[in-house]
Amino acid sequence: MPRNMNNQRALAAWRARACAAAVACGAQIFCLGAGIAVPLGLNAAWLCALPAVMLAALLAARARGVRASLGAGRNMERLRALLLCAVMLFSCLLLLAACVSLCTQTLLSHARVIHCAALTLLFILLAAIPRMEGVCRLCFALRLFLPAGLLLCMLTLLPRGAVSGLFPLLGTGAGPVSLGALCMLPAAAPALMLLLPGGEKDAGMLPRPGFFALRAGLGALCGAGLLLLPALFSGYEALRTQSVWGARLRLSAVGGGQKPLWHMALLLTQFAAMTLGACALLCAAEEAFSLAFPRLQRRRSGLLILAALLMAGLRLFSGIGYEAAMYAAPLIALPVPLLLLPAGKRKRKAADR
Amino acid sequence: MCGDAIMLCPLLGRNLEILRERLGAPRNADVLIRRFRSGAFESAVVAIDGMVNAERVNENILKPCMELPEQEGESIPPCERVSFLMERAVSVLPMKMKENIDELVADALGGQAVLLCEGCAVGCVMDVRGFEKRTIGRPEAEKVVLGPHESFSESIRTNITLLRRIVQREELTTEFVTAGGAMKTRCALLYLRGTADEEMLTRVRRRILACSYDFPLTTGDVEHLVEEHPLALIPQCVRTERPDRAASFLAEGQIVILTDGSPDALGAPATIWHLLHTPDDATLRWQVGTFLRAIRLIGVTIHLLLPGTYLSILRFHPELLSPMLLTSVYETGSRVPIPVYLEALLMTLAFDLITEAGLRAPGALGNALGIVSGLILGQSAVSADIVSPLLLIVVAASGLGGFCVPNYALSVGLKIAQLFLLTCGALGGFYAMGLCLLALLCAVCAMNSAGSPLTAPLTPKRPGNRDILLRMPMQHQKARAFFAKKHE
Amino acid sequence: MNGIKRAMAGLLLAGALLLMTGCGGQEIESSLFVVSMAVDPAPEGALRVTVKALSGTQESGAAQPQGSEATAQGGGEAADQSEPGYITLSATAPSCLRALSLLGATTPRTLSLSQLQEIVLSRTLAQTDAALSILREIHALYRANSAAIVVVTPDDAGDFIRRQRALLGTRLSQYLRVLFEHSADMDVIPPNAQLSAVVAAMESGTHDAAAVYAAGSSGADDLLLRDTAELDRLPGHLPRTSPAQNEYLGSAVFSGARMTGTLTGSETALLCLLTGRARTRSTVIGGAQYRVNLPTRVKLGVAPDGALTAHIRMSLTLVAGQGGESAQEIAARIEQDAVSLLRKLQAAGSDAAGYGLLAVRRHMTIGQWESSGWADAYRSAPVRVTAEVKVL
Repeated sequence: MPRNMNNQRALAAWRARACAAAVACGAQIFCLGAGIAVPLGLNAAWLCALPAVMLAALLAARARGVRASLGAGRNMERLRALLLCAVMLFSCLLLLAACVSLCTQTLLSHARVIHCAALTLLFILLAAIPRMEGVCRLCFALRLFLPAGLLLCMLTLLPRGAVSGLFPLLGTGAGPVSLGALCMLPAAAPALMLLLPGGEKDAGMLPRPGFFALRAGLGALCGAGLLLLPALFSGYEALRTQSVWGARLRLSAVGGGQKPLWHMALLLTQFAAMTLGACALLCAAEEAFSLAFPRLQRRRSGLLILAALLMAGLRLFSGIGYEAAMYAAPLIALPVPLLLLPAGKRKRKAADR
Repeated sequence: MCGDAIMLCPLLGRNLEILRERLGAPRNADVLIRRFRSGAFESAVVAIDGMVNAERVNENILKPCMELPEQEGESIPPCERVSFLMERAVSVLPMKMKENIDELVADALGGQAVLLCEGCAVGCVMDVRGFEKRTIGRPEAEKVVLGPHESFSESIRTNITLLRRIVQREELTTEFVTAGGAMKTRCALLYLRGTADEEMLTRVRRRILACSYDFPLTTGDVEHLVEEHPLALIPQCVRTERPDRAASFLAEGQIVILTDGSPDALGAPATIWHLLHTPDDATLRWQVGTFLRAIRLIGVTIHLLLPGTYLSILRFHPELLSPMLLTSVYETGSRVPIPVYLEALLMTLAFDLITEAGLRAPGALGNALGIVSGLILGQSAVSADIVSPLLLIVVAASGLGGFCVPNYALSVGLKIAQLFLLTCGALGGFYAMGLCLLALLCAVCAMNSAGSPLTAPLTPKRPGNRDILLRMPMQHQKARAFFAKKHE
Repeated sequence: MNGIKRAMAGLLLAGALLLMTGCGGQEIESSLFVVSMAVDPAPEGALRVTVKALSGTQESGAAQPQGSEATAQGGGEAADQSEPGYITLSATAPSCLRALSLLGATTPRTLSLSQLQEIVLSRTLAQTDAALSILREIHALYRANSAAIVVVTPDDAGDFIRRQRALLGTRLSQYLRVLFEHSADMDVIPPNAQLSAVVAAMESGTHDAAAVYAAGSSGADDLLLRDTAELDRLPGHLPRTSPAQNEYLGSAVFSGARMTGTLTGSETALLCLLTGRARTRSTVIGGAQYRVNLPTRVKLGVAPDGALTAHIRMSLTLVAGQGGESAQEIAARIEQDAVSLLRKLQAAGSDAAGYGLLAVRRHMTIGQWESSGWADAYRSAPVRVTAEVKVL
């Protein structure tokens, strides 16, 4: 096969993967933002999300430089692959928890939480069976439709004078907003899925860091933009009264009530982003798991093991409340230096040689 | 060696005895074995009655051979006697020299004549096919308003000729491959050298040759051999009965597969957009083509999503209905004795039954069937409050949307997916429908056709012809699709 | 490998199918769709909730099943089925949601508020903090139609909705929708009277709510007798000749969670103008009819000295009658009316015009805003209104 055709395919594959990372980042920022940033910053929750947007872009650019060394036989590399798997899996769990919380508040208000969780997980698994390729290509196909759909719904639903809801601009103040921003940083973790080597073996065809940073950053920015909705639709006083994660997520999809079809469209677009992000993260977790345990790759045992862990997590948190999962989100940040730094040192050693 | 049942031996009598045994003569009355004197030695022609053109055999083979003088060929070594006859007497154009009895039998069964000579362990296979075949007719499933009206026929040679008339290029290559086990079927792979990708060609060839089924293969069977996801709901190759469409596949860098005995061609690799395009898009103006494609896409969307959406709204999201519509649905729905999910399944099944019966019922009866079942039964069902009128409209609209799909296999696949989505909508509302759609779309996006992504060039992005969803004007289209070697 | 994939996919599909059966869908006739809802105070601090819902049949009431008024303590009262296709039910309970669940239990159907067109509160309730908790409870239900119009009535709210009929057409829900649409087009009802907007305004510290004010034709409400303005004359006179038994007379303005005053129809029209939501394109001034040419430009502001300012720029075309007043006279009249309206709102402590939404922009944090004492500053702020009118 000619080299230029190989290059085309590699570029297309990386482009699709970057879109998947963008969708996952955007969805994670929106979900964690509604859970953590809204109670802290109230109507300034979108400000809390901006550092996470920048971090997502930085991580995406950095991940490009250190990839393809995970799981390469040595124990340290296997450990790194396992850590990456854990980060992806926990991010997936958070997205699923948010999805289920929102679903039981809105579309399936009569369903039991555990039913809804199991149903979501089963379909995500079905979508993950064709591996990363399928979900990445789908994310690439929807890369314009998702943000355009969200924007269209927002513009149609916003009442006149909704901009007033953004004031006071700093919300609860610089202190709580900064704390919110700090707590939101783990929402950029999905960008680390670009650490995975992917299907293309030739590092020479890897796009530039800016390629990934741009896409991940834009996706994350869309998620931060969604955090404007609770303020625009409801104002800070209403945000204060919502103590449940699902109720806060719901505030981003209601407003006015005159246009039920547009509400439904906005809600479904949010769900689409969240489920796509969760599926991409699950596939990434499976890939990382396969790097750590190559023998389990053939029979897809990794996927089953991860699915079982996810189900156990959802079951656990459905008993104590999904808010507990949300508060545990900062733990995602712990392995990130381990994932990025050692490979950077190894790259320098290789370059020195 | 004499007595060896696989290769010919120099003894004419022995060869003929083996062939009689293999072909079941004299019990098998179709076998024609004619011994005659050709100059200084004896020869024989073996053929199957009805498969060969008797007049050509008589005029071009038997007569010239039998008119040779008695001493003619006396000095020719026995092993060269067949070649001598081919040079001096026989006037048939395509011919091959073979020694393998299996190949000779297969060729004779295929309609060719086998010439054997005494003392020569080589036979000559001559193409004098003259079996009855259908003339070139009009396409049945791919009719166009304006454009060519020729379609493929069951003869592989005729089909190749039809393609060669359109694609008059030296790069056009025809490779014959034989597929099957005991019962072999001849297939032809046509492609443009330098345009079709060699790796794809090797993949396709390998898959066809690996077939060992013992029944006559049709294009559909070959399609199952070539495709990579046999359990998928949608086809991964494109079938056409139109030579002009097959020629456009060749120009795009696809491989066209013809199967002897099937009046259609298979194009591989294919994308899902090929399954949604029709020849009308190309023959009419680009604005009209674009409009028709948009209508078709809307039809596909309605076919897939409308019944599930209707059930979702009724069972989970009635707030989406306007008060007027809700009141109407509420009043009519309260009179229907069966649950709405069951009602929808029954109506969908009834629609499919009517469609299938209309296809199978002969001629005028098919038309009457549509009227009777559609109007009378539907109206009666509504009057008897067995079904609600709105559901009838939904099912009918969905069915019409399905008829917009040009590819029959794709429309049936979408129909099955529609049932999944209908069930999800009825049991889980928009949430379950959305999840099911996510799983289906991920599966479709991950599918490949002969190594190329099925949803390309939309996703993953590939350079090449921009004629995907919208019909672009000629000046904006590149000749070749992304899977061709060169894109200029 | 492929076999494992197929087995996995098959098992997952089967599991998903089983799980979907627990999602809680129901047939449409299992729901009771409420079109109108009314809340009245009941003895011992309880609430009486009356709903008018689709009955699913178009026959007139004789053969309809007897409903019941369910109470937390027991007792009963026959339901009203005087309008074909609808059934009216009542329940008394300590809270609105409890009353709704009692209604669902006694009907028995799942109550659905997705088609709710109006929520009628009695004036007695609206003047207490209970109004906010009632509306908040309804708004918290995801499927409740948050575009339902909030109406305050001096009459019994239950009787108010019982009197309502679909005078034109056959569907009460459509009749109400068109009625509110038409009234909004005439600017006789406040622009943000939907449930979600009213609840948000009641909870907000930056502006106040304005709901629709309506009364029955037999009510002796003092608003019915006022006839100083054309718009007031219309609602005040029609009850004696119109078949409609309920009239929509203007606005009930709130200060925080409580109703503190009412506005007439013309005052409501002016309020719509000031908030930039006026829809009517025709106005009658001094006996002459004018068409409003361009979207009227209104700029509200809070001056550095704390004064409430409004600048109105309007262009009119004389359509009928003799224009007895000049542009300056019309402008002066508008200024005078606007000042008296704003002062009335100040006296009621209601920032229905939304000056607080402008004042809040000067503060960076919520803490600064809440400690700024806007509510008191608003009541005592001077009012300055300027109007520019061009008559073509």
